[in-house]
Amino acid sequence: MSAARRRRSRLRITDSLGESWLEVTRRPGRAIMTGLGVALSAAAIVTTLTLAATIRFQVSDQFDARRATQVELRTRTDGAGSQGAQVFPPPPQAVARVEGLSGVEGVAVIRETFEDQRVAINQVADPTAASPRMRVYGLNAAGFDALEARVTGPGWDQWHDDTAQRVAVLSRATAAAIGAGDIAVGDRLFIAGLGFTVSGILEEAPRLPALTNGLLVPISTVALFDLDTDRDRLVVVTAPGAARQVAAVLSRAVTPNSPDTWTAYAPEDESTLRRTVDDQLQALSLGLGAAVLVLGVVSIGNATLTSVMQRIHEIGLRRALGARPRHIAAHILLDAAVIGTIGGIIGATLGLTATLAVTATQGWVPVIDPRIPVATIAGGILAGVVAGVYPARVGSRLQPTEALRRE
Amino acid sequence: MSSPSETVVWCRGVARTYGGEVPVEALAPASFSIVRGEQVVVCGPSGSGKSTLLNLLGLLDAPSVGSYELLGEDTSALGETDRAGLRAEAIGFVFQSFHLLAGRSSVENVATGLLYRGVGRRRRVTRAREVLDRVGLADRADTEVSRLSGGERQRVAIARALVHDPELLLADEPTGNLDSETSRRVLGLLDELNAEGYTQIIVTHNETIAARSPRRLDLLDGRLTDSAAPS
Repeated sequence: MSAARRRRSRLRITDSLGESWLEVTRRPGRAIMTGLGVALSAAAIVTTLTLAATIRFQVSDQFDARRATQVELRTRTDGAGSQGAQVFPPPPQAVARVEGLSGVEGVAVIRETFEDQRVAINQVADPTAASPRMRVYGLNAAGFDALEARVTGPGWDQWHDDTAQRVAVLSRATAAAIGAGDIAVGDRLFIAGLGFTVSGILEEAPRLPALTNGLLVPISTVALFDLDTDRDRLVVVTAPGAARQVAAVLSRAVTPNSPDTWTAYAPEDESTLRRTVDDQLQALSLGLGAAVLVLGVVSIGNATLTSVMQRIHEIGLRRALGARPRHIAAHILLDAAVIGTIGGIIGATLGLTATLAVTATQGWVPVIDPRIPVATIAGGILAGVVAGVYPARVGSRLQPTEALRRE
Repeated sequence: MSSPSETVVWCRGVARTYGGEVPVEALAPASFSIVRGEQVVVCGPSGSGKSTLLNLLGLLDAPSVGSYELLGEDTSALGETDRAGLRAEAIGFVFQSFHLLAGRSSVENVATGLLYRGVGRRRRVTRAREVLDRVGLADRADTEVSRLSGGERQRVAIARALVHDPELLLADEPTGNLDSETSRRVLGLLDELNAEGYTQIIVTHNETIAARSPRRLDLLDGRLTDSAAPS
């Protein structure tokens, strides 16, 4: 082995980093301006990713869990649905089949009047008198539990359903609307001139809030009125996650021989909704981030190449002092990487600040994955390295004599 | 001629021709040797091939033909990696325009001379201060180089060339950017270093400087007119 091989020039990585740090800190303004492209890109990425996580949390938080466990079955309104009026309400054994489906927790059979009906309290109905009008809903006895409706008073049971008893349940808001804010169980009221006994006060109906704006009567009793059959429906409450599976078999469970009579409306799956939101936000994030990142890389690359040209004598000097081409390439790559790092740090800080500002303004809980700023800074380093490849190639290929001679 | 063990530079028919449609012979075949401790001046007008010869001797360029042995090692067969290793180990450069790193102090500039030898930062700085003291700039060690005079800058450049204790010191027009008084001091420093045993090759177009040296090689139109063949 020759003496020269024994004396191969060496550059420690710490020394190379130190040289880059000296170079960058010597002109901090230039380093910051050069890293601005990466900083903006990093800020855009951090902001969109952290805001995406925050919004996803909001969606999840505000997502109506009840709707996710609720399937509606309506008669079809096209030709196949012409039989709907004949099959509604489904017979008790059909409802029992639905209740027996795996994942079903309750079934509400609902009908409603075509028009709002005149309602009067404790008096014989006078068709000529001005009185408020209310929508009347027919509901099966089991529907109260299925809809998680809270009723003060007995309400009604299956017997009332079977025998079309004239009993009614109404909310206090409805009572107030008809001028009977102090109404109580046992009071009489008149719907379209027909007398009904108040059998319960509807305190809330979270699964079908519209019920609190009307009157409820047994499902068979509502047939006394002119019904909007297009709005006949079964509301089937399911266990979490079972709604779509139940919807798939619901029609056949009600009318095994003519499942086409029905259309089942399953809620948008929560995970699907979340995935949709994720996809859209991430597409926005990636698109915006990528566009700015390209600008950042070009910016650093351009500035680094300019710097190489400005420091051409320095490159010649370093070669004269024993630097190998790879050492020159390492210096240039590290310079660019340091600038990329600065850009990444500034960008991550700006991005997090923007996210915190937006969430504070909106009153949201910020959801920040600590990996995002870390990955962003790493991305800044990578962007710097990528940007430095071409200038490093140019700089390392300069012949020392040419570099020292060039004006 | 000295014995091979004392020979630092030994050129045999070294020439450099630059390619292109019309090849240009920048240096015609030249043969000479320089022994340890010599101070040799290469003198010639602009375009005579002085810088070409210096680049070849400094391993910054390779001869088109001929053989160049540095410290007994035939450099013709060396790749760039090994040539860089020899430059870092055995050669010190002093340039006319100093080539100091702006924005850095004297000691940082001098320490750069050890950067590519894998020497730790603390040792680099310690050694750089020693050499700065040797060239009379101990009190300017921490001064940023842009605040130094021309003579001080050249002394910093000389200190950088000496920091790794090279076998061969190459100075390219070391006083070219200095006034006469400063030039005299710098040349005095180079003489002192030669007296301490540093082998020197000084390139100049200045006859006065050339006349001071015990040995001179004259170059004219790429031809070495006063060469001495190795024994």
